[in-house]
Amino acid sequence: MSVATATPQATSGKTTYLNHDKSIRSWLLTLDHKRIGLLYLSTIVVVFLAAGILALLVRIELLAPGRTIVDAQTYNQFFSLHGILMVFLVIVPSVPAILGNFIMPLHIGAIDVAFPRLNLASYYIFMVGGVLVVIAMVVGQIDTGWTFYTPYSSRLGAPVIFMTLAVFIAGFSSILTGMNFIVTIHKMRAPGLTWNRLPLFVWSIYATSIVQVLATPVIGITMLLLLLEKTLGIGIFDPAMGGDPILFQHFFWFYSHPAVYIMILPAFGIISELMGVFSRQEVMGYKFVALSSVAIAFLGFLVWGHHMFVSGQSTVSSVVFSLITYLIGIPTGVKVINWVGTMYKGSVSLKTPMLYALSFLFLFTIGGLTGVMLGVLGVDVHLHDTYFVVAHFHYVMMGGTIVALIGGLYYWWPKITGKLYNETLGRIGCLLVFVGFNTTFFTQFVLGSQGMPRRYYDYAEKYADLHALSTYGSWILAVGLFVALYTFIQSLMRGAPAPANPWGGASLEWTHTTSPPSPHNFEEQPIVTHGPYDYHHFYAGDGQSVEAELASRSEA
Amino acid sequence: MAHAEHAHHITPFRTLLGVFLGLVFLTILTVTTSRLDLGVLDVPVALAIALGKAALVVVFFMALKWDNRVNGVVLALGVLFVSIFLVFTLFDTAFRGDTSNVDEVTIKDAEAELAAPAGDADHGESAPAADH
Ligand SMILES: [Cu+2]
Repeated sequence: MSVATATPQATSGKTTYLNHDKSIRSWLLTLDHKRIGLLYLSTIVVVFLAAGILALLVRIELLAPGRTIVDAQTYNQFFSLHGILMVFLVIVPSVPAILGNFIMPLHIGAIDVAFPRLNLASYYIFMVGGVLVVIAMVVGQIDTGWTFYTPYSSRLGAPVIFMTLAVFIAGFSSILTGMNFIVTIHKMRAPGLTWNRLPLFVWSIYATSIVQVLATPVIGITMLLLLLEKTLGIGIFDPAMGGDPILFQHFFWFYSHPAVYIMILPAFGIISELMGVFSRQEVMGYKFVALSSVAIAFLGFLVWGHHMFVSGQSTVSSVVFSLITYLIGIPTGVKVINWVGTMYKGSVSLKTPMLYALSFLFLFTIGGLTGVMLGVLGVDVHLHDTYFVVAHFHYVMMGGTIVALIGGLYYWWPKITGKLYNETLGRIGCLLVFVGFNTTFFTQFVLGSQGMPRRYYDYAEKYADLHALSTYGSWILAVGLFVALYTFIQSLMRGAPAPANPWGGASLEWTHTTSPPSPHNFEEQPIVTHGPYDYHHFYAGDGQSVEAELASRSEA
Repeated sequence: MAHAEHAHHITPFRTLLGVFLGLVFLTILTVTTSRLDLGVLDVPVALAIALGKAALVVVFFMALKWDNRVNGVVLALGVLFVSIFLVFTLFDTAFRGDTSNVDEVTIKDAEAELAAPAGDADHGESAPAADH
């Protein structure tokens, strides 16, 4: 692990969580939430790379009509692998497991999470789930897409049950992490850190944890039912035995729609932090932003049927699910408006993390609004299973969660590694990601609205130009992501030492810990006397520009 | 937790007896109603009685009433989310098949009927719009 060998000069002589014990064993058996966060980071980066390469292969196959590089069967497996890896092993765990683990205890002034051993166990359970997922995919040749719908998937039988088991084991790690975080946030806040002073990132992690604990067990129940049907011949999903295939979709989406919020809520938290710090202003409507996370978490349980409008579900249900889906637009809109309001009349500083936050704002708003369009029953009947849907969820998952995650990594990078990164390179990477992403996926909105069905191996000649454009976009996007990766690696190798508070943040991880933090986070028990965005508490705003202030800080 | 070691609540014998008699009564009620034909209400009534019995057991026998309030909230949340799942899913299965005009004459059939000289033109015209 290259991270382990990076001794920060800023704290030369000082003991940090990175250098107090450098053995491999001390990393693999660590109970330190910061190191566990980095274990997750390294694992998830590897899976992200693999799933990303699969995405590139899928796009290359679609570069031109007919066979381009692989046959149809392989193509089906490629996009299934891409979806399953990205959803269950990257986006679901990413922000809570990496940044939630690393930052949340620092945010609340705690020495660690409430159950450090459970935290380490969660990581290894995640690894077991991950390995099983890969085995199921390779051995079972799963080509059902990431949703494993019956009766299509029941044709495969055992591999799908095995895959559900693997996904549930990976999900079990989410349940344990969620429980751990809930207890930590309830019980381990520093003196003076009331619920009204909690950083919004912590609020979003809290809401996410509740969803994880309540929704994930359903995937286990589904697996059990599939197993009962298979072994005892009880008709549950299989119509030949008197079962109901649509029931499978109910089970699947009762977990998977809330899982969408497991994926996006923590990203909202990151964006709130970035908007505050880089606008030098208190986040507008703190309570609304905090409680809208909880509202989204709850409403997220009532809308799963919007994935089933054309499944044969009763029309009454579809109408009800469609109407409730609109409601999600309200708390989501509250957040977007408050982020924009936070920048209004602030001293906005366009550092790399803020550029990612602005990209998020743009991309997520497109993703969210097209989500409302798809929630409209009459419209969805036409757009269902077209590239419009593909574009929509990539705008939310990639343009939303992944972009926010990268922004968050840049933001907390100096804290995590004790190193500064190259700002110019960071900005170039962000620009390439933004341009590449839109070229890839905005094209797909157009393709979808013209009737191009998703998951198809081949397509009519009239779609060829747009498909080619989308594939070129994916290359720009890939280059952007590699530039970002290079920035991080370069920072690790040659980055200048980071000061404790390079951005002038007002939350505890910046004001009360060194960069990188000591093994026990805080030298002494922090006592909180102000909110997380009370920048004026530290910086009088005496006409000094933010740029100048930040410059003086990074020189210090 | 500071109060983790709190003493176990001793439930008075009379309360336990009362709950027991309540459970016996509800069981008799279950058996009685199972013999009546309540039509659509058959399952809901049986479930409601079962829910009542479960509640008695959890609240008194399992002493949730005297337990930390958080445990009650957790249980209630779990029950709430299971109910959400069941209610919405049953809402689908109960009305399954009402998808507009699938049972009606399709537009093609209607056109054919219209084209046919002896066809019942009146029926053919109204069929595609027969949405309930
Ligand atoms: Cu959904």
